[in-house]
Amino acid sequence: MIEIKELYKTFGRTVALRGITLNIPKGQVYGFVGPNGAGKTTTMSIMATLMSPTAGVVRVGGYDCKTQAKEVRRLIGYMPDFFGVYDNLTAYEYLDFHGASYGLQPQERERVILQMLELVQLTGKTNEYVDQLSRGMKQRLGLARALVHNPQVLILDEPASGLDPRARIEMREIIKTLRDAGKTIIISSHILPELAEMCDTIGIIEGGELVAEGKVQEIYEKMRTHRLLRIRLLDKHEALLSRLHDTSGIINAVRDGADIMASFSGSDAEQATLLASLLAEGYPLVSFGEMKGNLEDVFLEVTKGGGS
Amino acid sequence: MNFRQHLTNPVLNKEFRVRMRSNKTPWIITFYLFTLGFVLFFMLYTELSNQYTYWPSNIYNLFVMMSLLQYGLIIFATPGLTAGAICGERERQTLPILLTTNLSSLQIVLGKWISTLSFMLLLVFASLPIYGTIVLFGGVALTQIIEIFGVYLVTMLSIGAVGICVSTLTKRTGVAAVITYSLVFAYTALLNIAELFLLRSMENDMIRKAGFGNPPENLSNHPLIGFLEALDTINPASTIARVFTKENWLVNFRTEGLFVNYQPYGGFILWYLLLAILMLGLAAFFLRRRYMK
Repeated sequence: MIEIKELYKTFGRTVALRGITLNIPKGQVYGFVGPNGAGKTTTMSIMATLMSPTAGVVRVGGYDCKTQAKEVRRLIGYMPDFFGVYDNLTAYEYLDFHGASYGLQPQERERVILQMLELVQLTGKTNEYVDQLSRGMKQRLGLARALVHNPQVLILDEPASGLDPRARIEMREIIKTLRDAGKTIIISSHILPELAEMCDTIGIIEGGELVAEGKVQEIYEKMRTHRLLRIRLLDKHEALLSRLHDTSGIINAVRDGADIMASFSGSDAEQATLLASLLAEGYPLVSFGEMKGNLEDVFLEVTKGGGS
Repeated sequence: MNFRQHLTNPVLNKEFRVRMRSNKTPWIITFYLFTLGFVLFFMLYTELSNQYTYWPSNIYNLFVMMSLLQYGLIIFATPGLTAGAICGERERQTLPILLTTNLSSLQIVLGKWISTLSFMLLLVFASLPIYGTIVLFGGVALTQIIEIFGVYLVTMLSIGAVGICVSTLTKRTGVAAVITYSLVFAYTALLNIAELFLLRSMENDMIRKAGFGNPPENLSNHPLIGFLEALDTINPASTIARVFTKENWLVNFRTEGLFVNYQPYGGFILWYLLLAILMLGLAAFFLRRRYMK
C-alpha cells in the first residue's frame, strides 16, 4: 500500500533523509520510531504530499506522491504532530468543513460525522466550540477529521504527544479499532511500548536512515547482544557474586537488595547449564529468570542517543 | 471542479461562519460606521449651523470628502483583512491539513479572497445610509455615486488579491500586512511621480521642438501621449478626481482639448480586474509550492 524507494530529502546543506526504503502492505500498522530530528516527520510529510522528495519515489496505493498528489490525497488521512483548530467552529462544523473539503455531499457528511464523533467518543461534544475542547479531545477530533472521507491509509505523526496517560490509552484504543477495521496505518511515536502493542512492524529511523525494521520481537532479538538475569536467593549473595564474576558469559553482576542482576551473553543452553550448576553448588535460589528488555532499551541501543 | 462546487466553496462557507461569529466583527463595523458618521455629522454641523440656507456646491464638497475618507478606509482596511488569509492558517497550524484535502489551490485562494471582500462590501454597503444623508441635500449626481462605488469595488478586488498573494508568499501576518501596505503606497506614489515626470519631459520636448519664441504644439501630437494616457488610466488618484470633477486630472489642466474622446473609467476598471486575476493566479500557483519546498 505504501512503497518508499531510496528516499532522499535535503534542506539546503542539511540532509534530512538518506535513502530510506520501506514497504507497508495493505492493512498493516507500521510504527515509525526515532529520536527528534531523525526524519520521521519529513518522511510522513512527503507521504502526505506536503513535501517533495529530493530523490527517490514514494507511492501510496500505487500513486506517486509527487506527480499524482491529487489521487494520493484522496487515499490518505493525515494527522500532523502539531495542528491547530479554528475558533468559533463547533466540533460538528469542524468535521463538516473537512467533509465538504473532500467533496462529501451534505446528507453523507451528516451520517459520517455522527459516526466519527461516536468512534472518537466525542458525541457529547458535538456542539461545543473546538477551541474549548481539551488537548486530548482535540487530538481525537483531529483523528476523526483525518477519517472523515474514509481514507484507506492513515498517516499519524505522534498522535499521542502531549496527552495524559488516560488520553493516550483512549487514543491507543481508537487506533486499535481502526487497525481491526483494516486501515493501513503508519504511526510515529516516542511512546515506544505503546507502538509495540499496536504495530505489526516497527521501523527505527536515525539520522535520516532506517537503521532497523521488522516485527517488534524480531527487532528486539536482532538488537539484543546480552540478556539480563535476575537471581533471587536467600543468602550467600557475596559468594554468588564472586562465583558469577568468574563465570564465562557473565559480563557484569551487581547486587540489588535480595537479588543479583547479571548481564549474560550466553545462549539459552548456556543459561540452563549455569542454572543447573548453581543449584548443584547449593546456592539457595528462590528464582532465576531473564528480565524482558522493553522496546525503549532496544531503541536506545539502536539509536545510540542520536537526534536532537 | 464544477460551477456548483465553486458556489459551495467549503473555505468560503467556513470563513463566513468564523468571521461573523468573531467578537472583532461587530467592533470593526461599529468603528467603520462611527468614523464615517462622525465625520459626516461634524461637517454637516459646521456647514449648516448659523445658516438659514445652504449651497448644494458645499454639500458636494462634503460628498467628495466623505468619498475620499471611505476610499482611505478601504485602502487601510483591505490589506489588514487579507494579510492574514493564508499566513493566519500557517500561524494557526491549520494550513498543512487544508493542503492535504481535495481542495484545489484556486478554491482555497478564492474562498479566502471572496470572504474578505464580502466583509469589505458589507462595510461599504452598511455606509450607504450615510451617503443617503448627503444625497438628501442634493448637489450629487447618482452616476457619481455609482462610479465612486465602482472605484471602491475594483480597489477592494485588486488590493484584496494583492494581499492574498503576499499572504501566500510570506510566513507572518504582520509582515504580509506591511508588504501589502508598502506595495499599495509605492504603486500609488510611483505612478503619480512617473506621470508628472513624463508630462514635464513631454512639455520640454515640445518646447524644444518648437524652437525659442514659438508656441509649442499641443501635447496630443507627442508620440508618448498614448503611454501617458495609459498611466493616467490606471492611476486611482486621477480616476477619483475625474469622477468628482468630470475633468482629466494632471494632464488636462495643462493641455486643453486633450482626451476629448478618451473614456478612462472603463480602462481603470478593466486594469484592476486584470490585476486581481493575475494576483489570484499567482497566489494559487504558489500556495502549495511555497509550502512544500
